[in-house]
Amino acid sequence: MELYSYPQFGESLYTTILDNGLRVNLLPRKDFHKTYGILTTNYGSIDNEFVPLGETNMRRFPDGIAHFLEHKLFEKEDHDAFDIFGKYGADANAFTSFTRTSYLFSTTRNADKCVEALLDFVQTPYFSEKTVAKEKGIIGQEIKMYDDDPNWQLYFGIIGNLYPKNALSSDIAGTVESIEKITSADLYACYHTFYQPSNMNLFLVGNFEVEEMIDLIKKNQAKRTFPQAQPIERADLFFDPQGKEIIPYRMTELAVQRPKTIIGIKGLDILPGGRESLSYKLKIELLLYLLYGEASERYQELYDQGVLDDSFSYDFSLERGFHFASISGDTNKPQELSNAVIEIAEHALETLEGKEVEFELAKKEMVGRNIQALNSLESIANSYEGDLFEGATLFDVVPLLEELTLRDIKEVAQQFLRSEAISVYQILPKEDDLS
Amino acid sequence: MQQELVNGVELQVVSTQQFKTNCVVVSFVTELTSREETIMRTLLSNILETSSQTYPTQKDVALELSKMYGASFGTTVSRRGRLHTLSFIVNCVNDNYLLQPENMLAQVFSFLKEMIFAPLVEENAFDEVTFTRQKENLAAYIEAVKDNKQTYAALELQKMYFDDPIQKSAQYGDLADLTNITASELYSYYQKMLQQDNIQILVSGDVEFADVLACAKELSFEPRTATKLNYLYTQPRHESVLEKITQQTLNQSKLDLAYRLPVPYRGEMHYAALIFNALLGGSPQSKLFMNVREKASLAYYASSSFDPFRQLLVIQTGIKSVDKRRALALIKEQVADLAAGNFTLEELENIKLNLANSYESRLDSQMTALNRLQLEFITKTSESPASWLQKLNQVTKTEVMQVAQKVELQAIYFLDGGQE
Repeated sequence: MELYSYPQFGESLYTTILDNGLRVNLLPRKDFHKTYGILTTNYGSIDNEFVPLGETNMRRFPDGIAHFLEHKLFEKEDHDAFDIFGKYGADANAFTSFTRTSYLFSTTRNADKCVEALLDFVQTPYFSEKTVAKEKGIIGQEIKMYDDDPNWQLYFGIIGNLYPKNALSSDIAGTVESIEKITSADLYACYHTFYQPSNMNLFLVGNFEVEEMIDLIKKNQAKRTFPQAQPIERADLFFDPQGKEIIPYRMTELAVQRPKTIIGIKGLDILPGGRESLSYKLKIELLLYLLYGEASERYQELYDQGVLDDSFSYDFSLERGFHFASISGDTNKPQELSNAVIEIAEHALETLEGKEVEFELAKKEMVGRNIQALNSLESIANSYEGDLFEGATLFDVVPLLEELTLRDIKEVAQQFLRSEAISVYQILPKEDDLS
Repeated sequence: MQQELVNGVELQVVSTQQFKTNCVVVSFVTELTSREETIMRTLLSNILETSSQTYPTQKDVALELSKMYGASFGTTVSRRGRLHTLSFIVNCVNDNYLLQPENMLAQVFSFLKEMIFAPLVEENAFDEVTFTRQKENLAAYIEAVKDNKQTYAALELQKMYFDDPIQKSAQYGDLADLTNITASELYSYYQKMLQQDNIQILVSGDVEFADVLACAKELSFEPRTATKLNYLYTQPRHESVLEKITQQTLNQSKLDLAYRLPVPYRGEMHYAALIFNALLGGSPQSKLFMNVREKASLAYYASSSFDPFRQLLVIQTGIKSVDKRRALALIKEQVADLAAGNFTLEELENIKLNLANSYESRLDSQMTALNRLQLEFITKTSESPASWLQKLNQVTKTEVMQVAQKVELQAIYFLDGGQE
């Protein structure tokens, strides 16, 4: 095991790769009651087209299959994995994103048993036509719930503008029609390809003994045999260097109280990878803070004019293969808000000129926020992105932040903020609103 | 450690090295006397969060906070039974984790002093521009709640179930009361609140009591009569079950139920009631989750929650419109099953373990650990973690059945999405 020490925070991270390829990270926190464990596979809703393990040709799978698989993995032939965690008093859950599927537990007792239960249930799939059919009803309800959520619609609306016809623009859970096509054979094909230990990592943080824990994990993994690790071949989804695919504007009408507008900025630049990608992410976050944060001049102006309010927010996503920013708000002046956001982006370099003081304050705030996040075991473990950032953890963020300069922010602004990469999506209230 | 600073103002300090931050919470507690007061306090919390004499705009507040290493500052309101709490909360990095220590604790307290005692006021009224803007924003926020159908249904159910106008309204108050509030009226209400509310100052972090005490005294609250507050609201029992249906065009319908559950907070049956709720719909092992969602595939969510301060049990579900009758029957069956003792001792023990786990986990969050102390302050009850866990463990199957037999269905709200 390798040991990384972070004296500024009084923390030690132990990390190793097991013989079967599974990456294990252990972070003991003795003063906590809780242990939090999360097992993640580098496989999400966009990974619908790939060469299944043992086959030779690309195959296309139904939208929503990664999320469907996540649900189904809990159900076994004669029991439900939730019950095992229940027996230990633990909470268990799972989530699927664009590029990840994670299974997790949280417990103050029986941590060792929960770690075993987590590995056991994720690594012993059981899918049958009968259980697959039943799940379609449950997930169908879940999809419908999201259909009624205007903020979710807004978010997927802008992704649809930035990445039309791309798997990214489909709802993570798929559609009622797409999940109808899923079979248990499909689930096994996805499972065997993406749940190879070499495509996964386990992150444990909390109240446990490191030596005992790693022994237990090794013994558990020795119980099962895995085929030789195979490289995974996914279809190349993201090739649009000029932003030609982008739809500049769309709108829809829904039963909402106030108009909603969202502005998307698609990353057309190619990222360096590893820690440099993490640094890129931090730079963009600082950039957005300086342009759109509460401490910026324009924010206050627009707030005073009633163009934006506390519903205004911005976000930056950087995952395997893609990155984009989104800036959104509820407002009675949707056109003014989108125009202002775009204008700010287009004049970013002028705005940043001479902003040394503001930049240093922004950096100070980001450093403080990152230290605050270390209170949460969940934040530490969930923010681990594996290979995407070369195994970086929250502890690596502060030193990376410290070395950034205003010049870096100007450079990244030039690289990322391109007029042709900007798009707007709006939801306007329906006239015949019954509510 | 705990100390009364002046009459009616209490300081409580939790010295711990578990966290990398210091958390300071200043709470104003009162017994609500009118529905209008609820929205006044919400509006107040929004104005006081975003402005003061020295920091007249959000931008100024935000800049000051970034100087304190991005300390997070906010105000919150909460209603527990008859009581209302307005809190100022600051979370900042502990000096130990900064490359250059800056005495963050003292900075935080002087910031709080400014925000609490120097509001943006002119001639005994809140600054008109700020006041109007925050009033508009609050109205927009309340309107937007209608877009969240789960919350909307829960609020409609609450409105049906309660007789008392304060309890009928949402936690943030009623939109109808907002229009007439003036900037000067609100300011005089704030003066009254500053002088009369019970106050608790809570601090958690790697801090010395003496240092905190010195800081807290700087806030210089006036002494006040510490009134014994009555948190409990008991809704009179109604003979018939109220029913209401609203039609909207939605993909998913919502079926919500309100039950009366007369079990006093921290009384003999309190722990059995917690277990009953967890068994019914408070966890993934619960009857509602297992039988309504999982086995019958009827719902995406089906859960229950228990409000001991109002003796109310609420069940919320998201279903298809056509499944309403089936879902209702199945929900009633789950309650009846618990009353009849149709659950195993193993299920009971698992739920206890799960509740213990949640309780201990909450101690791992600085804020929720402080919430527990706030609750003790406003209810004037106290329970050590060891005693809490012991009382939970002593609950018997019979006691859980007795609680289940007490619940009485009073109201059914159906947000009918139609379609299919």
